[in-house]
Amino acid sequence: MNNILMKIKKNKLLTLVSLTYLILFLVNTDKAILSVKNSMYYVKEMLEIMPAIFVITALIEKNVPKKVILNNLGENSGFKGIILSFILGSFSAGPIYAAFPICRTLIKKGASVSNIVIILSSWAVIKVPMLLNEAKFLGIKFMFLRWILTIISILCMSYLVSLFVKRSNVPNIEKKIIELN
Amino acid sequence: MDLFTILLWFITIILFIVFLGKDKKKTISSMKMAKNLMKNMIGEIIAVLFLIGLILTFIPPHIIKDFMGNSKVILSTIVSALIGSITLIPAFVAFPLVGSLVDRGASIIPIASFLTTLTMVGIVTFPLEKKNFGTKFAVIRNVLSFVFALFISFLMGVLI
Repeated sequence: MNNILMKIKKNKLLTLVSLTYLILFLVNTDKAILSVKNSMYYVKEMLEIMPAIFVITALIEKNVPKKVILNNLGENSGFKGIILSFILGSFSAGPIYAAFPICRTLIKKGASVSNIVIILSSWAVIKVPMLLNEAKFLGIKFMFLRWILTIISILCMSYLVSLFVKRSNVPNIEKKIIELN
Repeated sequence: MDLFTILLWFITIILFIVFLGKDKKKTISSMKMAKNLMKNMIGEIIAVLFLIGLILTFIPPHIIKDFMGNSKVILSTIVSALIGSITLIPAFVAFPLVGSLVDRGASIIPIASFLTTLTMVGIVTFPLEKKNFGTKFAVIRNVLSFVFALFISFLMGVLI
């Protein structure tokens, strides 16, 4: 019994979502089935991408020397770090949450907060496949203008976030990693 | 699988082989770690994905379209930005959706704000972001992204 409670506590969100589905199945089965159907696209996307993401995260964590990350994405990586972060984010695959484990490892290995914001944001909005789609449906002018404005915004945001958030604000990085080993 | 997903797998496999040649023991142990990382996050990811399915049932794309096509531009821009923050729609659905709006002569300001918050602000993925980077980082990044999305869209309205 205690074990089950622990599991529920550890997976609060999953418990909440499961309960919602359970209730919805009882109250409105059609909507519940529709919701499951809607979710399947995302589950498939996740299964296609996340295994590779976790392998890359673990490889960076264990096999890439801290110095390499510190030099290329650290506080003093300067212009090179910014460009590299934009490239990493823009040529990525998958939704923004796929960037979370990788970025967490990068920050632990010495990447600066501002470069992490650049990677996360460009991963989210200025991915190349997305831009191609955008140009197709909304025109090159719309795509290009939004792209430029987004890059400017990301640069401002990366600076602003780094003013408020220090690397030490990222929760118990060391502890979690030891647990995982 | 799209081209970029295939590319991701290709890079992953190449990295794996290169590191395996460099340090076999370390690389094998990093695979164990990958498994543990996945175990650690998968429950929450699944929860988020099924939450998205629920949200899309109650805020379906045609309702989103109605909001974006509203003639009160400022109001519809803010509402579009909010909807974009809550939902997570794949690009191949989102672009045709907004494309048809533009064809009908709708303002591009709400459309730009929707497209930007859709991917950059994640209320649904917030629990995952918080777990990885802490509350402070997640709150500040999402709030700033929302504000800048509005900034981007109004500026686009002026420039186009």
